[in-house]
Amino acid sequence: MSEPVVIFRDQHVPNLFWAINACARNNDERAKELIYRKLYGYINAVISRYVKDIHDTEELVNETFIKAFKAIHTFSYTDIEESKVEKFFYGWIGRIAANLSIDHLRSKKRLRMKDDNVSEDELKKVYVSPVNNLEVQDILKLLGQLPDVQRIIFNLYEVEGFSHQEIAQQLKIPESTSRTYLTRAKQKLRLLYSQLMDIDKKNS
Amino acid sequence: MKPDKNKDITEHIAEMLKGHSLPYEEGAWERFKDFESAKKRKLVLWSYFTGAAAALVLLVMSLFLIIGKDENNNQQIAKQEVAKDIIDTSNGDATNRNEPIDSEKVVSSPAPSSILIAGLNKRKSPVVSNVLSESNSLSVEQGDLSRTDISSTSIYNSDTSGYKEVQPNTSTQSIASNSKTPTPRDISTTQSYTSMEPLSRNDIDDSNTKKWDFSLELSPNIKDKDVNFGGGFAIAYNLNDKISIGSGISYMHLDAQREPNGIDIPAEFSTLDGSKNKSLNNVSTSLVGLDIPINLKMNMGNSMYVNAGVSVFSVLNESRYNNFEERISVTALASPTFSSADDRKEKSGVEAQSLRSQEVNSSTPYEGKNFTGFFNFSVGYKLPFFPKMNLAIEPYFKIPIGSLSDQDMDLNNGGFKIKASF
Repeated sequence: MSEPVVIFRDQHVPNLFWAINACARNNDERAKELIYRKLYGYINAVISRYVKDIHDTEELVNETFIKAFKAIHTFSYTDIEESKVEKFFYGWIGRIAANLSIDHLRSKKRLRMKDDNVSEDELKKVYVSPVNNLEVQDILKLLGQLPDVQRIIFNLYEVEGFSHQEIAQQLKIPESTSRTYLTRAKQKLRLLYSQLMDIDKKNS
Repeated sequence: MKPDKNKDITEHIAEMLKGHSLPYEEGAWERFKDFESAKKRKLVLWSYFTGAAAALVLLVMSLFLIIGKDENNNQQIAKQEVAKDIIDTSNGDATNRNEPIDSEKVVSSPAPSSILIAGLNKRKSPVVSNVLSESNSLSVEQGDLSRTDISSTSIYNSDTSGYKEVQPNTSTQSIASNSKTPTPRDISTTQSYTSMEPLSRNDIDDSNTKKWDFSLELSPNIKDKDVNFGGGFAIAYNLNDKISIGSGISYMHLDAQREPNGIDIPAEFSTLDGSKNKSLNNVSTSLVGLDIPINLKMNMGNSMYVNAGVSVFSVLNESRYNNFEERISVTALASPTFSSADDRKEKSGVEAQSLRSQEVNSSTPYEGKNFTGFFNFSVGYKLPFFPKMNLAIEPYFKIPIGSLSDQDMDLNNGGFKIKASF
């Protein structure tokens, strides 16, 4: 007679909460794979917002996971409800990805504070046209045309939700410079969007 | 359709990006595993490389040392052979015939004797002076001997030579008391001369031949009131009296900290509401690694020297911490002993106290970095301690270079080394 198969409770709960636990406690390979597969797209998207080169992006994605797996035991969620752990984990690993991306750009000496001469005429709001709704790929292309510093500040402020004070500390620039670059980034995006719309109109 | 007047395009872009996620690419996990194992291999190789480089430096220096020793020995043997040749020649020519010494002949003796003399002068002739004093036939002071040569009239006391030299009283008296002019035979048959032993290291002046310095060092590192101890050993090759080049390997523990930036704040913490009143004070890091320097040392006199160079710093381990400060409200009551109930009511109130805590930061940017290092500067003062050992105190300062300087962390550091040189 074959023995009954005993299934332990924590053996098969294939969700992110289980994977974080298993990875932190036992460095479990299956847990790592689950985390990797689940968060790969998100991390790839975060890094793509900062880094244009596709090869650099892939390397940074992998660097992010290596760092995250190494430090996963430090991810603290004792006071957080299980339902919110996933959200916090996304935030935690997203910051590692953003941090690595900025370090990468900094190491390549690409964070130069350069005046790109945005004229006053461009300081007008450009509203979203519902007809020509943008796809994310188009947005990433527009974002890719911004200078590195502007792109980083736009991402940190508008997407990640950092304050100008935090951005200034991170990039070692005055707060006023962070504000200026954000304004320039927005104006450049508006300009680029308008140009894109004009091209679409001509084509149609 | 009119454009949406409520939404600027930049807001739309930000919203789109916030919710954006790319699809999983097939094979990405397998590529990640390859990347991970390659990275581990690289890290292991770097550790091996660092060790191998240190071993190679030691090996090369040891070889130099051995070759240097051989050269010294060869020089000594050559000198001794020359000395024996001269003695043999003297035996054959003059002493066998038992004739009085012709000092002209000796003075104009062929090249080997002059080599010997030069050699003796160079070595300040400690052996010969000892031999002469022990032989009891001559009592010439060392200074005279080294200044002149063994064929001088002061030794042979020959009037025919025409060479006369003012001698110290003691030697004159000694020679006079013997009342016999010593012949080269006397010298050559003297036990000390014939049984001349190889020169020992003590017979050779260290200042001329000591090319290598070994030293053990203890190096307390002072940084922001923290003191960490490190240490290792160093080896130096003296290019000349003034300049030497050195290397070595030392264990180093370095602490540093910096102001926090937005990226440092943990995600779960930043999403908390303001009720906890908790703030990130600073980020500190603790690095442990091996420092392999190449230094140029310049002596500034007998005791002072300055050192400048670069070093490769291999970070073996990094621990990074977030240091938080939490302001908590504590209800404080005034002391009831000397106050009335009303006073107590007035004096009691809410006091703010700060509570400090530390959490591990997941980021370890220095660990595994390949091209890290320091510029090194130091000034040393040597204290004679034992006959064969010098104790030196060497204040130093290190400035980070390479990827150490990429980060915001202030890794400038200094301290003082205590070096025992052999």
